[in-house]
Amino acid sequence: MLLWPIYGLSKRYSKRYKFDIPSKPRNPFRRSLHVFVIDAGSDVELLLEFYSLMSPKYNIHRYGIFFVNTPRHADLLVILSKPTEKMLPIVKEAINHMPEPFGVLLIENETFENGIDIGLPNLVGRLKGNLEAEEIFKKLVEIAKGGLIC
Amino acid sequence: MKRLLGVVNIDGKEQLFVSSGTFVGFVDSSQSKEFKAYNWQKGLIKAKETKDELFNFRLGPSAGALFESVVFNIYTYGERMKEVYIDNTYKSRFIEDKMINKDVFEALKLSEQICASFSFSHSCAFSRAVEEAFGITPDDNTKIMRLILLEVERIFNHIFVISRLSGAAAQKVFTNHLIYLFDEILSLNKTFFGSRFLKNINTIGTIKGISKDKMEEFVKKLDDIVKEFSKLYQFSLKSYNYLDRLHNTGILTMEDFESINFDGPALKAIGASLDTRVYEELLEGFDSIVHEGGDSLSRMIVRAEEIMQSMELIKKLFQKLKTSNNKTNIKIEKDNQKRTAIGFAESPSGAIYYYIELLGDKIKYVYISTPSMFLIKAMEASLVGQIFTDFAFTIDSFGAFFADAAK
Amino acid sequence: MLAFVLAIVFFLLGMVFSFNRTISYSFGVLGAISAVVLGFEGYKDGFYYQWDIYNNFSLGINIDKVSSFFIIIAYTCFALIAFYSIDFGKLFKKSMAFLMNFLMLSMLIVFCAADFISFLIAFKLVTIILFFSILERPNTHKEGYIFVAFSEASYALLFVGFAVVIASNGLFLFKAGYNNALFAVFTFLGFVVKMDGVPTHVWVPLVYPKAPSNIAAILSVPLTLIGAYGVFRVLALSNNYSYVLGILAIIIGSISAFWGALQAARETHLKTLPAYSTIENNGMILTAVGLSALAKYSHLTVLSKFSYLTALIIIIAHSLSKTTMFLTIGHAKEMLGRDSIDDVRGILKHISKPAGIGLLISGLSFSAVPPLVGFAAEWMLLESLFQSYKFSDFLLKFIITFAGILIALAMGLSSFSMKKLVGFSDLGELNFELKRFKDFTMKWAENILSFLIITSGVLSFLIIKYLGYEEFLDGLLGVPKPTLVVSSRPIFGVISPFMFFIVVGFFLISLLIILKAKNKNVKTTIPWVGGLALKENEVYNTRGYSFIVEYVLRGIYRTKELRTSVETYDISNAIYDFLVRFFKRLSAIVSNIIMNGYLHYYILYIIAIFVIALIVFKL
Repeated sequence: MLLWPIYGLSKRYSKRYKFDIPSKPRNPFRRSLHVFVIDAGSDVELLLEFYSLMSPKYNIHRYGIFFVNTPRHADLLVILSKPTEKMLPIVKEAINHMPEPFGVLLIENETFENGIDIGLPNLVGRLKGNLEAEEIFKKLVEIAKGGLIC
Repeated sequence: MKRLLGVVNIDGKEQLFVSSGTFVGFVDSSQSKEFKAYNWQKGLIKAKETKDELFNFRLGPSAGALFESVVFNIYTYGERMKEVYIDNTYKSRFIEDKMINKDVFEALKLSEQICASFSFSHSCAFSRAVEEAFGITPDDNTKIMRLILLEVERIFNHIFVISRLSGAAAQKVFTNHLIYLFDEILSLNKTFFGSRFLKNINTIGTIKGISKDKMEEFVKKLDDIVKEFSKLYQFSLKSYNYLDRLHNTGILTMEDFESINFDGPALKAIGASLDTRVYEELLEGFDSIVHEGGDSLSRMIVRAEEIMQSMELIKKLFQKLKTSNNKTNIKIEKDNQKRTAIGFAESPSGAIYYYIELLGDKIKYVYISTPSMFLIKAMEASLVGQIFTDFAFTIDSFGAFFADAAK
Repeated sequence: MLAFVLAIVFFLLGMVFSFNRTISYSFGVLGAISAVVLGFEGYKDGFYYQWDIYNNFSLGINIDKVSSFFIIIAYTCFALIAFYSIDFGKLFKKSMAFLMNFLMLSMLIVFCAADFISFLIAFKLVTIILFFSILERPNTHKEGYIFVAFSEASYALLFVGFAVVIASNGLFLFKAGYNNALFAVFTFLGFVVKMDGVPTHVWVPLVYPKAPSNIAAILSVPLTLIGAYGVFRVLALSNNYSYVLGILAIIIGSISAFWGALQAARETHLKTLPAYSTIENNGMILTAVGLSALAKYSHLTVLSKFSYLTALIIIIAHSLSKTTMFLTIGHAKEMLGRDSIDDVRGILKHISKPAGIGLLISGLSFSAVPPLVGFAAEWMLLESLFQSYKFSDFLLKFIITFAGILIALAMGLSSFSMKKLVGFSDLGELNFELKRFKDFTMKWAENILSFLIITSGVLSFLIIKYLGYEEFLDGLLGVPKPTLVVSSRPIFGVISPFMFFIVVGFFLISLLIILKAKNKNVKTTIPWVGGLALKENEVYNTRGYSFIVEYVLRGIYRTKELRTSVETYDISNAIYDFLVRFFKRLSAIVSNIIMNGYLHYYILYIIAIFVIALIVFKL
């Protein structure tokens, strides 16, 4: 019973290792991107766009994109619109709970005000304008394929 | 049947914004005893303390599942919800305050940002109010187009609400098919009108129209979608499991209406109707769909049948459309005259009322009465006594948007 | 013999010096330790002494294997309770020290008695002393009387049983009750009432919350051990009737176990939950003993020995764990002054670590978590019930299988209740003010008890070997020879808490070492509840935890949902309410008939008494 650990350890320490440097950085989120959506005070347009993303036409599960209900399971935090005053601490708390590595994606509608400028870490992307489900979908797939490059 | 739409401060005096039958206007606040809804409108009802074995199960601001940011304070001692207080202030964007001192066109854009799924109804109500203030009469084509697009909005909103309900009841194939139909209608909107949620189409006095051939194509494609929905809906009614989950959950009664004053499909499910479309001359012979029961199932049935009714209305209105597209001149005087007006539109979840005070062409004061304000109070009343499993059905069956109520 | 005399001397000294609490309790500890030594001596050699007074009347002391086992267990717990009371007793009056020493003395006589008279005298003394101990708390008269009522019921049944023997043989010794049917039935029922069999258990949830915590521990452990000891003796003496007695024991035992666990699942009061758990464990002991008697009747000697061993191990598990539970609960309760599970939060972090760890370990032992002794005990019980296929009589197979179903349900429900008790009180943040007092001996008593629970589980094979059941130890598949516990020969089922402890302990320790060595930066956050911090009134409470069970079984619990709370109750109380109402009405009617206020009737009574007296005395 005591023989095999010694055998295994001796094999391990007698081998010479060849270090291979990866040619391009590995994407940690290939085919598995868990998204947590916070509605930080938007009108429901962006929320309805996300809802219609679940339609079988886009088939987001094929790319490994899933929606989760808590930031502790999430890789990507999506903030919809500029946070209202009361929602700002909650957005920051959600970022606090996200495990490394993670990314933040800001999406906003056309509004009269300037963009969101609240100093968020790990900003992966920023979408602005009259958005539709198609564009959001493309951005999410791009993140899922290419990894979080900040 | 009268409704208290709001408690407004005009010239330093408190007045009640009331609608009753064809009358919409202000009443002195001495009549506040007649309206049971006065207390909650004034904010006099406060959340009670948790005592004995109750604890506050807070469904926090950010609860996931593509839900809006509201706080549900549910007082419970286990499975049963005893008291519910909804805290809606996390989504307040103070749009009414932002509208002050803006001219009417900018304010119109702001009104479309209150709630995207009701954006056309909001812009309709606002533009009607401004047109009444300045005495502008839009031509028939504009009126017909507005009514058609209101019905289109009603169709995709009702499909969205029913898909949310069936998603809560775990009817996955049905839900996904409905989301697909929802997305199809939004793509149709984008193709023919340039905006998925019908934004930036309506303006004061006129509307961006399209040619009649294109309109015919749009109506035909929409008809195909509604026919597919109708088949799905008939099929879903055969699933007893689905119907049983909706039956007798979230019951509302006429007494709840007396103390809360909601309207829309929630009221039609109890057996009464305050639909403002009966007063439209262009929709002659319009009969509201009512149902008895007052539970989630009745609300779903009312919405499903309203989809079919809306399609019929669209086809009827389309026949009345003329080929010519006269644009009336929109004249907004920039004088220093004070004007006030009230405008309304029938959104999918109830009637929206706008009260505006203008000084020249700048807005001085706005009060918006949205249907979701009342539906949220109705949610609080209907959740009492239910168990947590029925929470999702009750919430989703009202079709209330918290962004709409928080303004 | 020396240890016996030493124990009595220490107890008497403790009673004499009761004006100083520390000295008195310390004498109690010394006396209890001598009693434990006596037990070990008696288990090896045995001791019998008879003292003939005249004719057939004799008194005797009999310390054989059964009584020495019970003395070891009961006095270990007594020693630790007395040690705990050195600091805990300072919160109560000096009379409690006197009463506790007297109680330990009387119980020693109960366990050692070989004749009826000393047994009954000591039994009665135990009842009276416990009555006065319960009254140490103010306003507990009603609960004291309820306890005395049920104790007297058991005493009366025993008295009748013993009187039957004396009337038939004229002998006063226990062994004279050999194979006497009436003696068997009455004493068996008397001891079952002492063990809180259903439906005579209703006093337990009423009395335990009102008594001081160390008295509640005494009520729960040594007092019910008297009942178990009696059942062991009766079943050993009545070989001819083991069929009937065994069936009775299994039925009452399994129903008690199930009922106790069922009622524990709905409780939110700090001391009522362990009270129902006591009823459940005593039911399990009765089941095991009954199964042993039935197996002996059916000539299945291996199964009979194994279930006898099971009963012994369950007694060890229950005694140690229940004592720990009550002592730690008492510690927390006195510091916070609250008695509902919701209010006593944060024991582990804020009140004291030994109390928190003691409560956790005793809760785990009741939930049958390896490698603690409760795991070994409950596994052995289920294994012996599984072997019901070996019986050839169909009725026995059916009854034992049914009992097995009830016991399995009881174990599940008791695990549910223990999670409620331990989870809500050990963890969390404090709600109320702490009243700190000196608790050095309390902490050490709790520490010693936690250590005993763990070691008696891990080294359970040594206990089995010491008790003389070596045939149930074996080795298999890499587990060394005596550390594996088997449930039958040929081998039916096996466990080894010792190996579990070694392997899991190894993994846990290596994991700790590896984690500490990696030294990562760890981020601490508040729990995620929608983004805001959790306020005090948003914390989940025990009623929310048990409501689902209370709603599903609302017929049994008679659940009533009020505006802000939920009410449930134990329907066995309905029997006693009915009896109380019935007798009140009956006595009201009879007294109305007899004492009706008419003068002629009273004169009639006087004349009648004269006539009767004349006739009787004439004759």
